Amino acid sequence: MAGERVLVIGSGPAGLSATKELRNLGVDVVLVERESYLGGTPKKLKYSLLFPELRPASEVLDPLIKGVESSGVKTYMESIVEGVKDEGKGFTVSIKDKSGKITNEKVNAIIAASGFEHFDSRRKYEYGYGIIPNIYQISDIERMLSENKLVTTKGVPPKRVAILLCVGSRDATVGNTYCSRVCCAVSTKQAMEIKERVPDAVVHIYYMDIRTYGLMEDKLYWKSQLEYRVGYIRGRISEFMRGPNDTVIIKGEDTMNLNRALVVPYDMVILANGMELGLGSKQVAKALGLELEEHGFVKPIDPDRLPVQSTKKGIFLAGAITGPKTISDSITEGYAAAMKAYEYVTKGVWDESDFAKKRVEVAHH
Amino acid sequence: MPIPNLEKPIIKGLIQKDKVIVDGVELDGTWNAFMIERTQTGYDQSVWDEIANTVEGATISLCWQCGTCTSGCTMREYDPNYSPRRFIDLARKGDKQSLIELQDSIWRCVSCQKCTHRCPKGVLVEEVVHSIHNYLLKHGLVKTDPGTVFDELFLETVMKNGGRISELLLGGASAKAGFVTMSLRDLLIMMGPLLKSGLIKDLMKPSRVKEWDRIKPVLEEAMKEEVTPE
Repeated sequence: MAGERVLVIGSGPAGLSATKELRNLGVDVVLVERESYLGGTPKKLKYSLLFPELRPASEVLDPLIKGVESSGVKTYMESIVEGVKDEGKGFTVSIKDKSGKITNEKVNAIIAASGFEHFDSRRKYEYGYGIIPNIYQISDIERMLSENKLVTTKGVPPKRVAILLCVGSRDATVGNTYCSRVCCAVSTKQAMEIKERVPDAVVHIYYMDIRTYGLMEDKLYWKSQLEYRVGYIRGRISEFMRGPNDTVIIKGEDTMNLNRALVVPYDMVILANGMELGLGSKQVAKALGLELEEHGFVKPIDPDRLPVQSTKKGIFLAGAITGPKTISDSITEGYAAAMKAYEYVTKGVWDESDFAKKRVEVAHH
Repeated sequence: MPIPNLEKPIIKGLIQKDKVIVDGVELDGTWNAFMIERTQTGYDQSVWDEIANTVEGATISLCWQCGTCTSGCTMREYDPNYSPRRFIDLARKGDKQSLIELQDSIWRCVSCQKCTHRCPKGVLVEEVVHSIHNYLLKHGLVKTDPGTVFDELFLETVMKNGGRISELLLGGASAKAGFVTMSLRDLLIMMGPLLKSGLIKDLMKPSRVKEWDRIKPVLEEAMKEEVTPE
């Protein structure tokens, strides 16, 4: 099995775990990363604590990064995959770096792990993100928390905070009819982190449903209420207005108690923006010739039985490229994709499924 | 222009001048008429904090608003405004105004404890509702409810009558408080059997608890104590 090579696109949690596993199995890996550092979106946006264990993100990511750095991987930083040529038993991949220089690499299989991008809340104009001061996204707050600079535009910690869930998720007006899965947990975690730093702060989470699913229910949702007294108000905020002294006034509805309209001022508003495929992964999908499913994510050949195999032979998928995922799920998929790719390059194993060929109902918006 | 009576209660900060001339310009009339906001403009977190810090209300933070308590509630059939779920929600948000509006309902709990036994999160619903009501009473936000008035009358007669209730005194006090109405005809109907059976003696002079003089100070001491959580 000498000379088998696998291309891994993206060095987020999924790409890193796939790379590390393939190196452990003795397979050569070519790693392509768009940014100048390894770690993907969690590193890019400087994630603070990870749910549900509330441990620093670096505790999870740094061992993966170190493992990959020390495993002798051929790494192309600040580069993208420009095009892929199917050679029957393998692929010729052209990799373009920042200066526009193109390098060709021959590989036997590809793992696409280029991940997601956070929804850009400016697309929900009525929320005023980018226009009204003191409105942030959960992706901005992560950096503020990890750098310990949680302050309003006045330079003081916020005393009143509102978090609005489902921004860019479950919203047909922006074309995203799916749940982004992690924002409830992230928001709950952030609410607790804010209360840890500013114990007398009032934190309200405006929600439609709380989806701190699985083992996170009591660790996050219950705990945030019992130990931190985070308030949950059912109802989606319709718009934000700029108030006096750089406050933000929400206009909302308390659907639990239908007696009056809510017009409440806050020092800081956080929009729990969801997950999308993003331009980076769209470019990867186009370059590799991968199919997209109805929500715009990359379609696996069989979402239940073969979730890490793409519809194209020799190309595997891992992480949030196939849909919203937690970091631990992405790491697991990285391992799974590495195992599938290993079987493919050493024994030529490729499972077939006719699921993707069947007609898929398109979500009606 | 005079303001219609109908609009007066929603207008604040009114300035009315019959004759004002500023810089040679005549400005008499009605000024500064703003509408009072009728929206919910803020929540008072201190309500939740204060209730959660009492012994009775400590479990309020566990509630997740599923409505199990209210759907099985004995009282709800009789009073559609009686909703433990809603009381807890309003208290946690600090919506005092809505709680005040519900003051004719919130005291009606009959302590059947169905809610407490069925709560999937272990909220001691009956106790929490009482602590919310106590909060409102303590801060003088609501008038004393009939339940509390009756409790006080009951206790008063017990303490006055040597550890036992006096039907006559309690009945009289209740009638005075407006809980019961009794006509002369009712009294006459009752008198016959009471006289015949000899129960009239007990009614006029009820027996006392043994060694009441020793028990009374103990009870009085116990009633003074206020329990505070650790």
